[in-house]
Amino acid sequence: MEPVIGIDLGTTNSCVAVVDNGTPVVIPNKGGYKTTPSIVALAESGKRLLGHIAKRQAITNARNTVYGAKRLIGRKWNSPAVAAMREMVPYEIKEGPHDDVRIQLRDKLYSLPEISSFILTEMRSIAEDYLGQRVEKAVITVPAYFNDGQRQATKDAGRIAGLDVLRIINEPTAAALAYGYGREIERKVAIYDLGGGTFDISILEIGNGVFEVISTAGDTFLGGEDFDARIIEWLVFGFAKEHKIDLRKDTMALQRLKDVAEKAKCELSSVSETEVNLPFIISTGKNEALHLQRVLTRAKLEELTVDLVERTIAICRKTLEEGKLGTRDIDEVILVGGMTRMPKVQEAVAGFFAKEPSKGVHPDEVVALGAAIQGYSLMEEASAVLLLDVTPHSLGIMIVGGYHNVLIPKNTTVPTSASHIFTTIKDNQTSVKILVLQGESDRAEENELLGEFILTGLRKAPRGEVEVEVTFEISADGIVAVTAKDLETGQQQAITVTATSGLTEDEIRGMVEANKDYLLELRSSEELEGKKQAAEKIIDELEVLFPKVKDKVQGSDFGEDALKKARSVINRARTAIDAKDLQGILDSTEALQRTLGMFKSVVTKIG
Amino acid sequence: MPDEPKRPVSLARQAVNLIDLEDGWGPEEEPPAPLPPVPAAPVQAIRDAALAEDFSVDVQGVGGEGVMHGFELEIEVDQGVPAPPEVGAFAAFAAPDDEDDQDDDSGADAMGLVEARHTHPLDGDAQALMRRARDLFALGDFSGSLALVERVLASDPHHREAREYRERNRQTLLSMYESKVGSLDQVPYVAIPQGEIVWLNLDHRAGFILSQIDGALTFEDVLDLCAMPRMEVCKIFVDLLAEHVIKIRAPATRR
Repeated sequence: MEPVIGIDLGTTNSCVAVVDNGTPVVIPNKGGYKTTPSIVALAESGKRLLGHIAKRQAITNARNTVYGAKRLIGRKWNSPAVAAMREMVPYEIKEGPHDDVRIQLRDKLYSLPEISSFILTEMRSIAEDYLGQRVEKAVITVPAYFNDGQRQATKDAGRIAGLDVLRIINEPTAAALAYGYGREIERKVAIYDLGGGTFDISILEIGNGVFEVISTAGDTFLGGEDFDARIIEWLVFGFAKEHKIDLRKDTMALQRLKDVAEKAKCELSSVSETEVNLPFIISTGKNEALHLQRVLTRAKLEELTVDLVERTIAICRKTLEEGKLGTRDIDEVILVGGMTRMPKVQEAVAGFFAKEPSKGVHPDEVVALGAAIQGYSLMEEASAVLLLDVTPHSLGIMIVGGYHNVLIPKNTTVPTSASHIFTTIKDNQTSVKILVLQGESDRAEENELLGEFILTGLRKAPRGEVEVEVTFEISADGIVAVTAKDLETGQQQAITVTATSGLTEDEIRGMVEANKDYLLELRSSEELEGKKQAAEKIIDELEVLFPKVKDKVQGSDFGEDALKKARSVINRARTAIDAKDLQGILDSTEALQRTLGMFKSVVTKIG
Repeated sequence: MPDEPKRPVSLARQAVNLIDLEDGWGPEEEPPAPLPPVPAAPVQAIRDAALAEDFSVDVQGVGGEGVMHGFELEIEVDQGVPAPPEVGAFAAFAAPDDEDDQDDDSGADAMGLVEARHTHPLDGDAQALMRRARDLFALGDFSGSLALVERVLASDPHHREAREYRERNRQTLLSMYESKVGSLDQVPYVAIPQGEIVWLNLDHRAGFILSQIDGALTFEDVLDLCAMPRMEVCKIFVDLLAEHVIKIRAPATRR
């Protein structure tokens, strides 16, 4: 069966999994890590950096490093989220040609789907290295609150990365899927997801193989990075107190602080104290460099971050209230996201829900595993898994006074439909304009406008007499169709709202091609590296044998000649290696191998 | 002007010419010919020297604030020193015979003449610095030459000749450092215990580079992630290797 990978495209970290011989497994990257930072950078050399290496230069090369792209994907230029991000991030966010968002990296503008596609390309290549075959199909997860535009943009990112995205599924759904995999369970589950940059709480109903998101909420600016920031502050202020130097003003010092803060935080999940040691953190200007050495205890970390943990619990409380649920209604709590490894977080969750959270699933991997399971199920003809998703936001139309009249409330399970009858507001009104909105605000202008159309040909009558029925229908694929019908004449108009990522078809095609070119270049440079290393290994062996062979053949003209030829072969290979000439290396490797064989035989036979 | 006698001009001679030309260059006179290129450093000779056993690096200057002191190359002057540029058309700018400078005509160096086109006449200190920078460049002390041109550029950032010498010095030094490091695809690792690092003589920039060396990243990776000038980072690599603070992993164990 063709492999289908599951990708958890996270705000801070991404993870890829696959069902291998019936078992869902997370695939580690080249460095052995099971998660890869969702960070893309362009080095001064123009080289594209991804994952851990990009993260390690995120502060020193801040203007050319993109993180948190997920917070921008599918957003409109004028949206409040984009305005907030422009205030927060050091990289340059610019307006795109279609009211979308672009990011400037060095001398080029990139769309958000393009940036995310770089991460997806990396995840795909991690999977291909593991599976030893091409991977073309994927299931990608998104937060439950993502709107249609954000989902479509994520899908486009997959397409640019050369992936056929079979399904976009909600992260809590994926987590629950992994949790329920291979088990017959019927319960109400809370998914507490505290990741690197965001917090989400979702309540799911699982039963008879059906996974339904009942309610979801969260904070898109609350995550592990906030915990790191508290540690950094503590270190910075301690250092400033001692030396009167603000380490935050030096990007190199800040980069090291950020790395060490995250490391210390992770360590404190398993030990009660850890030493923070940063030698030569800053120079004083008096030809002297200072070191930073401090011990951070778990208790101190908990003290520094108590309000952050409390914020997550407050959101949980509100979500349950909105869903008219009590903690007693929740049968199981599943922890997702690396931050849930922190003992204090686990303790707070257990305290609030009055039950120990489930430890059966790995918090960093569970979402990707669920996506892989979903992908596997989609390829299986007799799949037992049925996913029911909900509308992440309320849908409605604008009515007189500029208000938003909701027809389908948020968290309604899809597919669904709803109708409502409206009347005219003026005498002899012959047409009505229907503005389709998505969002939670009562004020129409504070919601997202999905589309608009005009219903004409209404009969002339006093206001309030003509009745127009507006019907919303959402298909299982999330496509919204809105119909307005004059109930007396039967005259009707309809609109289908198709999500757009902000990219045109031509742009996407161009990006797909550009990504193919990049991959080709990457593969040939990897091949070059492999062959180069193989050649270098033989050269090393030859250099070791050289004196021995010289010793054996000393005095013989034939031997001297052979040694000269061997030296010439080595030199040729070195020249090809230096020139990065793949063909030259391949040609030289053959000659090197022959020479090595000859050397070995001389050493064995004569020796 | 083409009929003017072609004769070598000494460095001291040019200082006088500079002022004369700035003051006396009239509209009917032809402008000077284009600036001659800074002589190329003998890269291959330097590489060979860098790889030779007797190549020595003074690690006292590790990570100094852009000042690269203490590099010494033991290469033959004949082998390594760039040939002096042809005086050629620049001889036209030489002043007529001057009795005071008759004994100075042995050191031909037309490069000083480029200053005649400079819009900001140099003060005496800067001229002396440039003269010394040229000499050091010619002697193969590129870090010393670089330090001097940096001083000139600190007071006159647009000084054309200084900028050219700075670029050439940097390129040459980078080439030397890269030769000394070897293939940048090699993976370095920290070869001393963590506790001993504080006893090293490093500045914070070298400390930063050292903190990025984890036994998994190649030299090239570290160059990509540190966002520092390549030459400076390579210099730090060289110094750390020379001090045995870092070592290179055997090829077979690379990731």
